[in-house]
Amino acid sequence: MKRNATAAAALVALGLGASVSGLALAEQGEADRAAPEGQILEFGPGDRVSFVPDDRPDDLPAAEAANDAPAAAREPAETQRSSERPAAGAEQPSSGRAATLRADTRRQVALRQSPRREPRGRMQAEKERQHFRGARRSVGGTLERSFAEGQRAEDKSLSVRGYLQPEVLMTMRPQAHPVDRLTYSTGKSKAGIVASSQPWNRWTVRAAINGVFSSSVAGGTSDAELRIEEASIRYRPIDSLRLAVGQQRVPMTLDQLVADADMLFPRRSETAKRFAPGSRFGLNLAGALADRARVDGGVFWTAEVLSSGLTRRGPLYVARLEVDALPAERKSAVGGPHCVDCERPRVAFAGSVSTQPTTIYDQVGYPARSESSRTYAAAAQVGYRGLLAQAEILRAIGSDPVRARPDVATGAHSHLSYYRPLSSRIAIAGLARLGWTQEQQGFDPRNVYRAEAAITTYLLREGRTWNAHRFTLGYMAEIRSTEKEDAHGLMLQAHVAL
Amino acid sequence: MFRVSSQWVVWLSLVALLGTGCVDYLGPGEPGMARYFGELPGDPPPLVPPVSDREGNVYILSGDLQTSDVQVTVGFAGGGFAEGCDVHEGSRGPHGFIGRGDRRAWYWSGTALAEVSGDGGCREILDAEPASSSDLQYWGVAPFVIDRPSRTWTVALIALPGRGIHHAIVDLDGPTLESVRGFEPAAVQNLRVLGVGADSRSTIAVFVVAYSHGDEEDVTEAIYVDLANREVARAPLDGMQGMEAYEIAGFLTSIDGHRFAGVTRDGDLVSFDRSGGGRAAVRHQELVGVHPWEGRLFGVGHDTTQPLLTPIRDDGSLGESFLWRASADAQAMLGLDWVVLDERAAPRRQLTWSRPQPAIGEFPFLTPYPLDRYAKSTTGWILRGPGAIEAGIPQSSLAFVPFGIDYR
Repeated sequence: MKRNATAAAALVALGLGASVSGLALAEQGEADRAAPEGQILEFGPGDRVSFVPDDRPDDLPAAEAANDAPAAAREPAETQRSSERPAAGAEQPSSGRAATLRADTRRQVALRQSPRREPRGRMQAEKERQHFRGARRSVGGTLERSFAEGQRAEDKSLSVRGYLQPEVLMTMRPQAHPVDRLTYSTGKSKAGIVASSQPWNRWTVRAAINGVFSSSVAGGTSDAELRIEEASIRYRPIDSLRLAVGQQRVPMTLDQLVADADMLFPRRSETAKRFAPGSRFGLNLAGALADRARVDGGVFWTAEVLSSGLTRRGPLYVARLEVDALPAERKSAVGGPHCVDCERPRVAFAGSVSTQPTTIYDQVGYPARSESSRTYAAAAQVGYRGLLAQAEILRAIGSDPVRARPDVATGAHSHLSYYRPLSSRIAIAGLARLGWTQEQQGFDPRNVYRAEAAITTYLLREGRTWNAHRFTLGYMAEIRSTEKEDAHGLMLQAHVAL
Repeated sequence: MFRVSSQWVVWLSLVALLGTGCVDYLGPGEPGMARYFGELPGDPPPLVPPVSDREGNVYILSGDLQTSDVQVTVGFAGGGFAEGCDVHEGSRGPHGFIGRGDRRAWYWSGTALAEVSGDGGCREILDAEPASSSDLQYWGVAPFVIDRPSRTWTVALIALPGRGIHHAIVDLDGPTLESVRGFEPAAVQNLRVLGVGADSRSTIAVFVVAYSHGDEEDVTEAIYVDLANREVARAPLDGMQGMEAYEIAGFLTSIDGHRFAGVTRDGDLVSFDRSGGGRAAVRHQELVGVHPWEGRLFGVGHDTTQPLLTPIRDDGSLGESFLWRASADAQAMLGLDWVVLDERAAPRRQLTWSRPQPAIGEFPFLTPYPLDRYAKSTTGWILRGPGAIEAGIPQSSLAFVPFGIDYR
């Protein structure tokens, strides 16, 4: 367990913590990242360390550990591990001031053992701490402001992280009317903010807001939308359990579990969107099993007004299991999901199921009938030496005893990508994704195929997460074979972390 | 804390995936929930079999060719009904639904074409020729709609006053006619459209017409048209001289765009392929229509006691008839008391109907129109419940019911 905790700290220290499973992270670390917890199957380290939170003391600020990332990443792995081992193995504090003092002590021990930073006395340690606070601003792609000057940052701090994601999109639709065959737009340009705070030990409050702006150059139209992706309170009664309540992403498909800021592709998989419930209000309990599995169980709330004026309400129950069948054995702690430095392939599986019994209320407010739906997802991921392959199959079945028309859909998508650091500051990745959806299998099946290819350049600025800034040139195709129509798009997208 | 083995996970995942295959559909003749949507005059009232769109909204068209009244009722996918549309032109009544989209359906009534949306909205499609603003009459409309993300259209035989008859593509979203070409031969007299049909899989439409041209009297032909409004074949038909306009009931059906079959209002079989065909009398049963099912065409009808299926052979002749089990089973179910969901107004409530009757045909599913695919092996039908007399006119209570179906 100690080794795992050390590895966890090392990963976070490398700035990859932006998408590491939340259970592995101290709450302060959670405050610094935007990725939702638990994904092992999309962009994110997804290492087994994400399931081993037990040895990680709460008051070891992951972000501060992350501050060592730029330097540590260039150091031999053994050196890095030894520098963090004392901290990871330290006795867990209870809470409050005593915990703070112990954390200070551990940090100083860790710093003393660091070959690169030799604190000289208390003043120097304080300088280091200030330096770390400043560095945190960049390591996690986070703009952090401590409102309680003089207090420890992990006690009461507000962390605000944002991103800008402008894009331009050219769309070709050969079968459309001539006026619509070639269009230009800003696509779905986005900007987002993630705010997080830890008011008490083991408690975290998070909010994520996305603004989507689209403008058609040809049509002269524009549209804007503001979405609250997350507004939740998290509590960890013990290290291996975490309870989250509030608006949050439902842990269903692998694509959905990735934060906007950490997506590998310019956009989420359209295939997965069909099956993903999106962001809902609810309660989710996540737990670690053994040292390589994670279980999520949640209940979320659905309330929507249908086009006919009726109202649909009901709970959505979700269960998800993730397993690292063949955990990565890394030479160092770089590489993320692509396992750039792995000594053997990393293999992971995930499966999830959701059921949603809902009641339809009429316009007056009386229950009219009930319906239910089930969704299943199974995914696998393999990463090795920069190559990442993953696939997911999805199936949704909706039943309604009154309508007697099952709403059945099946989909699958897979992606293959290759990530290669060119230097300490630049990396590139080639991406390809294929998707297939067959809608309305219980009525009149309609097939949609999607293909994407992209090249992404990452700017690995020191002190930022490795994918903090990125520029993507991509091609997208959507082939509606049943309707005998297709569309093609060329996109240029920039993602700038603030 | 217990340890998780990868085998355990794999088995769990397999169990979860196996559970995904379980989808319940209605069995043949098995009814779903009856939804009471309103009353209509008549005992029974004239009705065209309902259709449904992709979203699950249901469209019910009342009226027949002999009356000029038309009324469309929309049953919302989420529940509830609304009267949607009464667009109509001409002296004849509705010909039927020509197609459906994601959240809308189109019907052809008299010489008008209309769109009904899933929220109950209504719109007449291009009632005037765009260039001259002269009246546009739909004499024949192919009963299929090509509904694609960027365009939605069908092909039609249109009449432009003073300019004769034309084939055209009708853009169902925009007010345009495309690929307009004159009917050939030009300068025909007494042109009548006897019937229309389509095969949505091969996207071939057919117009059966009769006309006089020069010395030729009552030339009867089937004109094959593709979705680009190109004439791909013209088949001469025999034995159809003297037929009145729209004498082929419902729509002609096909499974390959090659052979089409239908039934006249007198119960005769009309069958032809691209090389020709004609009309043939049917004995020993009352033939009502021709339905496609799993790559085969079946004549549907009844004798004095039971519904019958009659396969149509490759040469267009009728095979041996046998009992249509699904229709018979559905008929047997009608002899029971039914729980009906009254959706006419909120709050919804359940009623009991004793021994309802099919509102269309002698037996369930007997219609000259191809049955709507409401769900896999499921179609929609209309039941007639308790009646009443209002101002001396009989009224029928009507309910929509999904039924499981097959053709065995």
